[in-house]
Amino acid sequence: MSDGPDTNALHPNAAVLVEDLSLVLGGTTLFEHISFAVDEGEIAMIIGPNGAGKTMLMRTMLNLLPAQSGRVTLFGRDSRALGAVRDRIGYMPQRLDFDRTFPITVHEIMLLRLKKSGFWLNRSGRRAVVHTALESVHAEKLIDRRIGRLSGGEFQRVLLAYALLTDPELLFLDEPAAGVDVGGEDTFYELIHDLKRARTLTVVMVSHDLDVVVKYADQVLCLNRELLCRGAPGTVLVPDMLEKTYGSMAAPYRHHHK
Amino acid sequence: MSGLGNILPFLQYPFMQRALAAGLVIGLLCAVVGVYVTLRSMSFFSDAISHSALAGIALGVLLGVDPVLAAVVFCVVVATGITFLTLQTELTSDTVIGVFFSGSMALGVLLIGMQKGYQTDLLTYLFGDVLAVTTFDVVLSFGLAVLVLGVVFSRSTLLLKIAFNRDLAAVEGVRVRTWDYVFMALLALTVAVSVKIVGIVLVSALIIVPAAAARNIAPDFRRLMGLSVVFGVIGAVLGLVASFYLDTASGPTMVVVVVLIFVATLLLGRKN
Repeated sequence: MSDGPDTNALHPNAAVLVEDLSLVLGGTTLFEHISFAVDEGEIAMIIGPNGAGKTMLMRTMLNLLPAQSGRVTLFGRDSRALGAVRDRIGYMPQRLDFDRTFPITVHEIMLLRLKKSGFWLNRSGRRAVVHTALESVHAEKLIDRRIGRLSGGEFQRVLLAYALLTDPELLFLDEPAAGVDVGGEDTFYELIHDLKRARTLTVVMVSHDLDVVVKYADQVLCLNRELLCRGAPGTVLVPDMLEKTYGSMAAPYRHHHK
Repeated sequence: MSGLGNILPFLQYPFMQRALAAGLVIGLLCAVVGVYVTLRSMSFFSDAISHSALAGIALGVLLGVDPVLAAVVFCVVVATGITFLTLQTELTSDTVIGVFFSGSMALGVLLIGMQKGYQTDLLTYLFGDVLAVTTFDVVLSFGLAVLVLGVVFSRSTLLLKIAFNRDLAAVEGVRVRTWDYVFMALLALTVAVSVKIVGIVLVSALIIVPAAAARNIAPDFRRLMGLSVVFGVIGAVLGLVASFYLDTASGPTMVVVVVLIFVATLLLGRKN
């Protein structure tokens, strides 16, 4: 599936460039030889069964895990030395990575990011910026709520607002709507879709919901320890490919359409 | 001092003046550091560091160096070792802590045994002794408190961000591993200066319990920090005064006071 050494030249507008990326932890290969590019303004969705390495791939792309080999380039900068490019990137980890008993309010969480990027603002100025960011995800009413008192969907929107706080051009979202009730899930993707319309936004997303993938993805990446397919949803999400990715239990897609 | 001494008779005694001065600083310091320790679920790290203080103290006595100063150095070394092994190897943190906890305790007891003659004063370090607090200890605790609190408060956003989510912090460019070392060193300094009054066995209670009590009722981080400080200072001062009148050991009395506060806030938090 590797594009070989010419990947760079083939994708002059790539916001994300992954070249021959492999991750080995404790002697176990979690994924290997992954190469793909995400152009500016694209929504790329990583799909695959549990344990396929989707989250690991995203964390390696962000240099949170040390790649065994290969390279990740974000806006032309190596992900191990991003420098100022960091401010153009927003990241939303999985909701389950957070301790929801943490005694902190939505406002205080947002300040964690704002105090660095908005250090010249006074107290009310900061609050106004936080309010605006929350407004963009329809969560402004939650500003003084303690995170333990948020529903799953509300917490997801707060995390998205946090990721959007510095006006990023590239978003990494790890299962952004996992565990949210079905109605809420659709709203979440519509939200991202709307945000994308208002600005040039490149999105890399791990998703488990193939309906969502069909509806919103420009590019689908099928992962199961290696990259089994990539392309537009229409060309990739066919029974053959799904069986290759998910194994003989290639039921999830049809399951959703029963 | 005599006017104040009439109202608060224990202030007539120089050893109590020293103990209260040091206790106040230690109560404050432990409470502030304890907020981050509890948020990061690191209470066993503080246990491991405090038990290693015994070896540090014993080394100090053997080498003829001030025991607390020796404990400061030894605790920082152990904290760095624990952090290194946790970050750089695939050993789980509870394994690393287990090795250091019992290993340094055993080393401490061995070193105490090597000392000729009277050994009781080393054992008073286990549960704390106000009578042992010297003017040098007071000065040292003030100095280290200024250092630790200076770092913690000037980097409070960064430390909170790491505690909230390491990955988010790292993506934003925070050197989380470097700060793991820094924070563990700050914890080691806090433990080492507290050991003389609170005692090796109980120092981590003075770090954990005020923050845990505050967490029972605090609605946000700001008040978590504020309440933890209030509880820590009350626990330290009230505990010292109580130990003076009840003729009890200082460390256990302080810990009993903060545990009572914990129980009270637990009930209060449940009710709301």
